This record gives sequence, structure tokens and C-alpha cells, in this order.
Amino acid sequence: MKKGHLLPAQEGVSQAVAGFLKRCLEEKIFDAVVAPLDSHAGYNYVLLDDGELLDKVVAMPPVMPVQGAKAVQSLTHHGNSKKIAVVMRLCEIRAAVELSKLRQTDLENVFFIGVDCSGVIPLPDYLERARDKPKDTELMLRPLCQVCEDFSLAGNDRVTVVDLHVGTMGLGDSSALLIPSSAAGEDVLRQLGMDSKPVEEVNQWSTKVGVIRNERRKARKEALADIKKKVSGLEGLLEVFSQCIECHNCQSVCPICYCRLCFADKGTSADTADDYLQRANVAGAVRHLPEPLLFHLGRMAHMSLSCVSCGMCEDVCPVSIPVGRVVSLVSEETRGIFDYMPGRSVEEELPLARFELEELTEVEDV
Amino acid sequence: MTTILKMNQGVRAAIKDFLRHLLETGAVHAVFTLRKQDSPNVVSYSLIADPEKLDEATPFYPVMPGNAGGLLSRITLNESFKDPVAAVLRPCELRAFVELVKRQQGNPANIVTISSICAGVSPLKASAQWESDQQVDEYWSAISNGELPPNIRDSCRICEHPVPMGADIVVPVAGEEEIDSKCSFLLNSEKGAKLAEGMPGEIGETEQEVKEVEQIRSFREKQRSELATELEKTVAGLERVIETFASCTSCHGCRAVCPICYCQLCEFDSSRSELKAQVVETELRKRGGIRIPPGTLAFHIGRLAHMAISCVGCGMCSDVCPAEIPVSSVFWKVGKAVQELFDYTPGRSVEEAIPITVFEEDELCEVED
Repeated sequence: MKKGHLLPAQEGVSQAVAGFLKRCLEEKIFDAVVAPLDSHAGYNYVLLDDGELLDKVVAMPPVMPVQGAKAVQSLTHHGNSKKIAVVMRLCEIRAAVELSKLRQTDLENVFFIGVDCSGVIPLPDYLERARDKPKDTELMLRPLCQVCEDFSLAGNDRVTVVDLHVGTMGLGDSSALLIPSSAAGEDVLRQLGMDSKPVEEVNQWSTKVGVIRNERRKARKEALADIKKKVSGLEGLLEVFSQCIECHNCQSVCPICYCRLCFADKGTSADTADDYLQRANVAGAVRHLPEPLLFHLGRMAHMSLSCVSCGMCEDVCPVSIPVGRVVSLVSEETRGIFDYMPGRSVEEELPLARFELEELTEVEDV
Repeated sequence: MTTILKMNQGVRAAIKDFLRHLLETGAVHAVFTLRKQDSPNVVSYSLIADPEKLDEATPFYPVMPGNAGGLLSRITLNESFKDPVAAVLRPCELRAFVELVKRQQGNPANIVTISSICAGVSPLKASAQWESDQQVDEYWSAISNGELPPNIRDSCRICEHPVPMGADIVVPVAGEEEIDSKCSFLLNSEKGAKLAEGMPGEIGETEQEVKEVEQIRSFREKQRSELATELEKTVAGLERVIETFASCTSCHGCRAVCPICYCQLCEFDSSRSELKAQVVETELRKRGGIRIPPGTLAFHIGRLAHMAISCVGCGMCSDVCPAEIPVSSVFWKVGKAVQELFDYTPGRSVEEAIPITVFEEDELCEVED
């Protein structure tokens, strides 16, 4: 990366980012900003055009109560005429891009600002323990954050949708990098006269990110192998999902599961009382239908290609099913077949939307 | 006078024997109850037709993996069971089912209901971590010590109706100190009495219809008034309501597990609840910022408006909240106020009409102009 700007951040990255956004608003580069704000109750995405509210921006909250793509969706679902800068994690930006392919977001006027992500703490743990002592280092990150490779744009060719990236890793506490990653991003820095080309800092940043990525990559392999062992075969799957109480929290917080009414909640597959009784007669005993595993298999069939491995689903499971890790594993395999990376770019078509004459021949009848 | 069947065995074995008797005599064709799954410490509601499979049944297991009233309503939504089925439900589950029947969401025909004087259940998040039977053993030993079990849901600690209403058969559990050696079944209806025919045990009459042990009742009352006082401090007033629900992630899990929230597509997931460009403009101008997605608090208040009158206080909502909002406590408090206003007890009887469906000429005059 040859371009970039070093942003002084003596008062913290959040203040630096807030200052940058303030300037963008003043210069009318954007009409409004979407960013996480710190309120007494935690962190929420807020759409704002008020300079004072910007002081409450937290560039990288330690927790993800709502997947940012949902905020973008809520704002742009019916089109969007305002020019908006959105400050989010890469997994959130990528989900917003997937949603645009599914016609659920309109990114026409959206400018994405990514931020180096050090991962988030599971919401229940955060609320329970960290609210009063946010610096408690003993809190573990979300299992999927622990093995995330796409936490930064440095050396990352798997994500090309970010306009401007805020690099923080490996830089100490007093500065941050603004790295343009699209023509629009370069344009914004040019308009603001921000182009200090901090070669040394960029190197420091890339090196640090590279080190962490290598560790994560290794950890991811192990973690997925571990989960694979657990869910292998029907028995394994049944066991992992047997605790499911079908609250469908995983589906409702999933940024990709956008259906207003899920197939699983439509009741189309509902058995009548007598069907149910007959099944009980045949099998001796039947679990309340439908079997929860069916819901999860159906959900994975619907969304695994677009799964960004954000881990929201696992955060909200009341019975601690490692649902995020299972879906992420399955996603890795289904994506692999099509060499598809969700949220890599807006142009990359969803594999299911694309016809290839020669494809998946190995599963054809010969 | 109520007919009572007294048995010289612990309640957990007796209920299984009773259910087995029902299946073997053909009195019912299946039993709907909690059953252990293959994975350790996992239970779920099941329909059991084979008496041998009753070994896996665990009717009074202290966990509620879903409000069975809601589950039964979904099964019987389009048509009732054609053959008799026995359903073992907790009092709040039975009440939820009755509320749903009133709303044409379930059909009680051919279902004989067996309920218990309930000692409460563990929060799901806790029971999901159980690795042995230790907590279950503690639950039962607390009962035999005449105490309310430790570590039960808040909603169970303050439960106003641990005694079932309208069940065909009632099995006293809470406060029964000899629960592991003796138990009794109260046969509240003719149907119930008929089912018990041929069961080993002593049939008699009892004056007392059903009673919960005084000590436990007063404990629950005390907990209730303490919670009410606490809620006055923590939740009353708009500002505190906003604060209470501020950490809501809008997953709407509370609604998904609520037995009363039966709508297939909730108003708050409909297009009418989506953010409108005009609202964005106005809010930005007025306040400089708008939380997105919006409508966090409106959802809860709307839900309260829709279902508080029928809230049975089962506590499922709090159980699944990832943000640890005391949803069920707030809903209990609001529900109680609304229900008292109309002198209505949700689930008391199928005949009792839901207040909003009844026209009274003189009603709520105090809010009239």
C-alpha cells in the first residue's frame, strides 16, 4: 500500500476517528455517519450528523450487540439518497455486501470505513462481568473471533469492499493509519489533504497483522477440526443440536438470514396432531416436531455460502450450542466448492445465482 | 370433595407408572411429556406411544425447554387429536394452552391434562451447563426438606399460580416432604377419576381441593413483594424503562418463545415497522442521531400491549434473552396490573372471555374524557 495517512491518536483511536468523521461532515463529504456509540447501556449503531454526538463514537467496541449489516439494512433497505459513511468491522461490512447481492441493502451511497478488529467478547459474558470493568483481560473472545483471519485489511486480498481502513495494530497507542482502499477512499483523503504516506508505520502495521493472522490461521484449522470431529455423522449432528429449544435466536440475529418470515416458522411443514400421533405409534416416541436439527440443516443450506463467520448466532444461543462454529465450518466447505468468499466484492455473484455448464460434475449421475 | 389416589411410592416413579397404566389400558393412545434425549442432560417434549419408551420419560424434570402450552397449540392448531392423549404440563403451561385455545390457536379435544403443584424450574442457561444429575438431585432434596428448590427461575420464585387450574389430574409436588416415598394424585374431573381406575393405590376423598404448603406460598409472596418494590425502583418511569431495555439486541427471542405471542408474522417484523426515510430525516433534524435498527423499546411496549393480559408468567422470555434483561419480571408486573384491572386470570378457564373481546357499557370510566 503506497498511499495512506497517519492520524495522531494521543487521545485514543476513537477520538481520532471521531475527529476525522467530524471533518468529513464539516466538509460535506458525507451527509451522515453510522458508527457505534457508547451510551450508558452499551454500544449501539447510531446514524448521526451531529458533531457533538460524534464524541461518543467508539471505533471498536468490545462487544457486538447487533451485527452492523443489520443497521445498514435497516437504513438502506428501501434505497438511500444520503451519502453515508459507515464505521464497522470487516465481518459486518462483508455481511452488508452479501445483503446487497440479496437486494436487502443499497450500497450506492454508502462509504465503508473498516477498522482493525481485535475481536469481541460474547455478549452474555460482557454484560455479566465486563460492564463494570471493561479492562478485564480474562474475558475470552468469541470463539469465532479467536480464529478470525479477516480482522484487518493489511495484506488481505479477500476483502475488497472497504473504502477506507483504520489500521491500529502494531502502532502503539498514539497513532492510527488511514488506508484508502478504493477510488472513493483515495478521493476523500485527497479532499482532506491527508496523504502523509507513512511508509514505516504501514510496515509495522502489516507485519503485526501478518503475525496475528498466521496465529489465527493455525488456530482456525485446529478449532474447525475440533468441531468437525463433534458434528461428524448424523449422530454427532443430532447430539450437538439436541439441546436446541427452537427459539431461532441464531436465525434472527444472523445478518444473512434476512427473510421476513423464515420457512421454518411458516408452519408449512407442521404435522397435524394425527400425523404426529401416527409417528409416535411407529417409533414408540417422537420428539416434539419438527426435529431441531432440520431447522439448522435448512438454515445452513440457505445461508452457509454467505456466512461471514461473525459469531452473532453463537452469542445469543441460550443453551450454548457452538452453532457459529458449526455453520462456519460448513460454510468453509460449501464456499470452497465454488471458490466463493462472502463479502469479498459487490460484483462477485452468489454461486446460486450463476449458471455454469460445467460444474459439480462429480455429483452428477454418470 | 375431591377424589384422591394415594400411592406408596415416590412421585417420579408413580407418575411414570400412572402414564404406563394409561397407555397399557388403552385409556390414552399417547402421552405428551418431557423425555430424556440421547445426549446427557437434554430433555425435550415428546409424544410417547410405546409404554416401554416411558422409561425415558421424565415428567417433572426441573427444566422447561419450551412452554408446552405453546407446543401443544401448534400441534392442535388445525385439528385436534382424534384419539385420547394425556399431556403432562406445568401450571403455567396449562394456562398458556387455555389462553391459546381462547384465541383459536389450539384445540383441547381428546387431551387429558395432568399437572403438578409446581416447585419451579431451572433457568435454561444454567441447565444447559449441567454435566451430572447433581442439580436435579438438589432440586428434589430441597422439596423433601419442605423448601423451594434453590436456583430456580425468577419467574418461578415469584409464581402466583403454582397450583394448576382446570387440570384433570393434579399431582402435588412443591412442599411435599415425603415426595420420594409417597405421593397422591388429585382426580379433579370425572375424566381424571376414570383414568385412575385400576391403578394400585388407595382411593379416597379429601376436603382440601389442592393446597400449596403455607411456608412456600408465603415465601413466594415475600419474593413477589420484594421484586415489585425493586422493579418500582429499577424500571418504573420512562427513563428507567428505556435504560432497562437499552441493551436489547432486537433478537426478539423473547417473543419467539412466548407461548402467547402466536402470530406467524409479528407486527414488528412487518414492513410497517421498517425505518422510513422521512422518519430518519425528522429524527436527525430533531436529535442529531437515531439508533439503528430503530424501535427497540417500541417493540417491548407493543408486545406488552398485545399480550400482557394473557401473560402467564412462565419466564421463557427471560430464559432466552442474550442481553440478560429481566423481561419476565417486567412483563409480570405490567401483566399483573392489566389483569387486575379487568379481574382476569389468564388460563383460569376456557369459558372466561378475554377482556378485549367483551363489551361492557360501563368500563374504564376513569380514563374517559
